[in-house]
Amino acid sequence: MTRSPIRPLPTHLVNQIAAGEVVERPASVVKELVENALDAKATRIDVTIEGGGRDLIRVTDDGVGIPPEELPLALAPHATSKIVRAEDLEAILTMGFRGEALASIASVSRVRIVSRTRDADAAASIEAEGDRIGAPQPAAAPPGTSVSVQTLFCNVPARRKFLKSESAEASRIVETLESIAMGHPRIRFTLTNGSKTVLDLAATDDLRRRASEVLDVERAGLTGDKAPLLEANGDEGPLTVWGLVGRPELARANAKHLRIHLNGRPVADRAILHAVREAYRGLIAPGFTPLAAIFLELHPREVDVNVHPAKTEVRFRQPSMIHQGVLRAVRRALRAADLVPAFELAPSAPAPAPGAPLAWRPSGGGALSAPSWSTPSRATGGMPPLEDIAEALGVKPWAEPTPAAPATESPSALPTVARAVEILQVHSAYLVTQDAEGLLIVDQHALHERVMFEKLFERVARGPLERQSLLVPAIVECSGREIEALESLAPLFERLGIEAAPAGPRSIAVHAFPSFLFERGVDAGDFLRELVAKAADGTLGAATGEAPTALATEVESALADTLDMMACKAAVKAGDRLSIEELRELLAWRERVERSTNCPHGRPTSLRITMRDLERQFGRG
Amino acid sequence: MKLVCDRIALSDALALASSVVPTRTTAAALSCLKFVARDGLLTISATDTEIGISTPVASVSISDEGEALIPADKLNQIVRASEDSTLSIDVNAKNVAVIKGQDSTFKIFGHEPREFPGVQAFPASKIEFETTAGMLGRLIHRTLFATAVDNSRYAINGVLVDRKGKKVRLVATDGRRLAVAKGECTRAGDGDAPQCIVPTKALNVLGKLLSDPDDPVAVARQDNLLIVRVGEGADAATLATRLVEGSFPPFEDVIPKEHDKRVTFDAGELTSAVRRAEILTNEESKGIRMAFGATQLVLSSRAPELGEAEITVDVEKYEGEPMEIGFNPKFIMDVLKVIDSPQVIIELKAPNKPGVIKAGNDFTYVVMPVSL
Repeated sequence: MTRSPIRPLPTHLVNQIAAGEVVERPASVVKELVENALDAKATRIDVTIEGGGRDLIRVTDDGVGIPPEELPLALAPHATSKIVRAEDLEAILTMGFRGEALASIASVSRVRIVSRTRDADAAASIEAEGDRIGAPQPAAAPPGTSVSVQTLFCNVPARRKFLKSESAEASRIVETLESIAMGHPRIRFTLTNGSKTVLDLAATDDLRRRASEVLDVERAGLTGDKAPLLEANGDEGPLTVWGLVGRPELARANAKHLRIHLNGRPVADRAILHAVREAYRGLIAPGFTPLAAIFLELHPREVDVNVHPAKTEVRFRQPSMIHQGVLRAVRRALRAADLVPAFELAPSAPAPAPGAPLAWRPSGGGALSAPSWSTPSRATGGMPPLEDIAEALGVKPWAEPTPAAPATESPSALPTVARAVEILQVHSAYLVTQDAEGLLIVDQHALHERVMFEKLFERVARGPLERQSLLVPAIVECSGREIEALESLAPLFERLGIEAAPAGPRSIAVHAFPSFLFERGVDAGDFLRELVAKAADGTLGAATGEAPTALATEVESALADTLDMMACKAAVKAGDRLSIEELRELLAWRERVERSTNCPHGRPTSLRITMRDLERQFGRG
Repeated sequence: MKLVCDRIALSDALALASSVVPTRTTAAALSCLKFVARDGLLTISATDTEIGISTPVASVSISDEGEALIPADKLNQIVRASEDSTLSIDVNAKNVAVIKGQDSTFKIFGHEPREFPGVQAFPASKIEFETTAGMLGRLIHRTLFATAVDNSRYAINGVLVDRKGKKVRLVATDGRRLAVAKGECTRAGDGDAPQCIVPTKALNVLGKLLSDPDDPVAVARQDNLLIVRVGEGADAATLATRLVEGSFPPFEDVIPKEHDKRVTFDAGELTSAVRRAEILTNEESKGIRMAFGATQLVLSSRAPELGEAEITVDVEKYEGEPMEIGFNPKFIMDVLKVIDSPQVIIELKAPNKPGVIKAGNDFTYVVMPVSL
């Protein structure tokens, strides 16, 4: 075989390869172009697509525009107005910065840019296809920039073949645009698919308004008098967390409505997702994802966004601090709220109250974004350090790292059930009583399960559960894989008061079991069988659906799951008659334990019919 | 069937038989008591198909022999609420029972007597052993409390009956403690009897039959039934019960064969101390700590959020090194309630090894510790 000589790749091939990373599908083109528009300080961004983005993607903004002489540079690889020197990479404030997006896109499609700066009389246009870049031509257009991308991947048939159906690609574009729009409420976004307007998000200063449009709160079917989105706030060292988190009953089976923005950029960081889900643990069903728009502000020094060209993956300098900060802020928001769902007696109730407006706080990045189209760096030379700009503008986007204040435990936000109030047990399954807001219906098993869970959780935090030895070990038949799983459960067993060991190739002997569970009539053998089965098939501690980042988190998740199993088995069941003292005690616990509005599996423990709803139904409203 | 009987005697017999009648049943015949008046004797029977009982009623005068099936619940209420000294019961061919007192007439609708499944008669040819009601009652009393309420792995929701020669043992466990009570037979069949497990409910009912300690008791086996006859001749009552199927755990192995610490207590003092230490335990912190020393036992308990307790008991005699061990106080209280000797002995080896409580030579109780 003859040797091929080593040769430098032609530019257009380099770009095509780069395009593979940046431009995966039409939605990534939309993302790159919209981010450029944001960097150009647009106040309105209109996106038009045809054929799911395959035939046409056009992004039009009213931003600063590009002067005609810089148009060819805009299409050259690694040309950008956003980065001047290597140090700038340490503190990236703009959306785009790699300087490869437009060149990459042009290498796999036909691109036409029409742009006009605000002080220019006329616009100029330029076209590019593959490695051919045309010369700027005069054109007519309003101030701003419009980039059209046609016949995407026309010269890369392999990739074109891998595109999904037209509607699937279109819905990815919707998702991408929504995700960006969530982080920029002051900008109006529209999306037109063919001749149909798919999105029209008005510019607003109220994050709550943008969030309820983007997160689709209305379609979630929430009713009652409570705001569907709760305000979350928190600081953890250099991190500031703020935003809106949805009530647990809004959670969905997919993660589309959990939006996380870091310094104005949508990110999909698993650790952050995990932290949010963790905060909702026990409030929503396993596998569900809460609905939320969470904004993280962090000094750019603390995070590396240059991990992947698509920029949704980031690397934190202190990942555990980020996890902690998000978890605390969200948990605090949930704890401070009365999460008892109110339900309608008849579909006549008005739409839910939107809640107080939440003023938009531009991200440090967003407010300071350097215009990409007007000041190409190569042409104008160096820019002052970004922090100096921040100071000059009087903006203080990031607080200097300060020691984290101890989280103050706010008391339960539940309206109190008066002690003397009557409690009725209905069909040995539900309790009916009243609180300050109206009529309260409680699922006795769900509430007791939550109470048990919180008690156990607290007890385990203090030390291992009390262990009762067995006279004769309980023998559990199980598979070889389950016996292997037993070993991984050892650290858990230590804390849970369980002693179990393999008793042969196909059986496990339980030598000790928590006295608490004995007392509640839970069979040691049955419990162990279920536990090792869960551990063996990997469902233990994985209820959040997210691979936890640290080993410690994994153990904690498994612990929580196991305590959950214990609580479920130990709790009173539907059908158990309770004495009035037991009913009182159960309701009293409702106010004492955290997250008492939902059982550990996330089902609600209580429902409320508000006085307002009653009045309405009885025609008094 | 027509008869007149002493109301108190009838009431006693009804109460005894009714303890077998199932509370929820779809079979009407099972919710009834069967009356058989024959040869000057009235016998009342009841069954839930697992346990059957037949008991004679004293002081009856029968004018018409016959049989009747009368709903237990209503009959019980009528007899209990009555203030008459005697009641007459007259059941016609249509199964209508008329119960008359001095100022009252009740008519209740009964069922066809043939619908009643019947109670196994005592098979005199299959007697395993004979003893007294006092002896059998004591054995039951000292073991029944230690049975399990529900357990899927072992047949421990009953009491094991084990006879070797003239020695009989009853054994019960719930997996965390074990009670073994030993007694003597007055007469026994040749050799050893196969072990059998008697359900808890049957022993509870049997306990009521054993009210006169001098009554002779005969125990027989037939198929998977245990049949017990209490009393003699025509006045004898019979209880037949199905046996629990399945295996009893290998209890001999768990009774410690050795110990190096032995403490002797006054039973009353120990009872009082454990009862008080138990006050400061809760659901998640059940155990009490027992610190044994040469002259004293210090019991302590602690329930987070509630508080702590410490009680000191004098030890009558201590052999061995000081030691601390945790126990569920309920298990100790349970056994102290059934011990009737003034002294109890606790034998120990290590904090993670079972403790043994003994009273006299005929009772051993093994209890597993809790970690604290």
